[in-house]
Amino acid sequence: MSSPIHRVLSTFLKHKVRALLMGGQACILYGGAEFSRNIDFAVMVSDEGLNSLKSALAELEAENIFVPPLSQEALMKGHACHFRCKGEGMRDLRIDVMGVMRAVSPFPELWERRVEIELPEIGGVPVMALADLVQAKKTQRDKDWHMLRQLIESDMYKSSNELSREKILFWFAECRTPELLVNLAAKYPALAGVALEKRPLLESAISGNAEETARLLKSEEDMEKELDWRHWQGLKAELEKWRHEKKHGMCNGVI
Amino acid sequence: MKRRSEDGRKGKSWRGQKLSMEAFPGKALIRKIVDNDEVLDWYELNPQERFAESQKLWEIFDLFGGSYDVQPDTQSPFNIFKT
Repeated sequence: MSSPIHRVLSTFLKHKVRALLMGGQACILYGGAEFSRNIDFAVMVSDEGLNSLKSALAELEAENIFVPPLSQEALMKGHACHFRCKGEGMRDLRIDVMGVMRAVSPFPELWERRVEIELPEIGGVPVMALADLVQAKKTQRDKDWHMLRQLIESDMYKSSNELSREKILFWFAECRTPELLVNLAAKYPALAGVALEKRPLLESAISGNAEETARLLKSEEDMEKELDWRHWQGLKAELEKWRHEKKHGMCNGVI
Repeated sequence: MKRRSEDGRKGKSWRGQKLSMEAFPGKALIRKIVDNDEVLDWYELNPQERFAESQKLWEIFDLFGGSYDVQPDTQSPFNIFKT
């Protein structure tokens, strides 16, 4: 019998849901060493997009849990909608969907940049591009920052000897391993200079100081965590309000 | 223009100049930094192989009666739901 993850991916493809795999399951495909118990998607927020999503969720017998109920309004505000799959063999697997994320490009751009990964017995699964997944992972959670480091290390580890300028600039922009940044800067000083304009901490990597680079990487991480925390304060207040309304029967939480 | 690479991904081709990575000791350095054979073996796999391995973990997870509840994460904005 296929796993719940297998079933969700197949069902989303069958219903032609305009959705991009992201989160832990996407990280696994890109080289993140993680065991993720749920499945996350970025979805197209439109009548057509949500209709196909609802069809897939209905087939999986997925029930909307917590708040908010699935709606364009909630997704466009940046909320996540959560579901539990009640279908046979689905083991209550949780599906989380989002339409808009902090500091991440709008969905149509994400869709344009998607990577389709062929999975046996499933088909071509649309996956959020690595560069976009990295942006989506810049959250307030420590475990996401550990994953970010792994994603770039894995990307570098698997890369061939022939590299594009864009790929090296991507590593300069996102690598979180001090020693690798120092080595990269030594190998490609001209590109390091270009990347420096957008990431000042590269100055320490260019000067060969891994210790200082590590300290600045931590500051960079702390700043992003703070931005994410602030971003969620308003959303959390709204979630509390909706939860209160649901508790008092003012909000239907089941699709 | 979409391409399918050797590891089975399809996507847009990288544009622009190709640069040599010969002297960049990335792989050797990553081996030294990570110093964990299991993680390095994982990095070596392609996406299909990683997916297949993760599916095996689900089988083991089921065998031992693991819960599909998402682990509590006090740093998650969704922690207010107390899953």
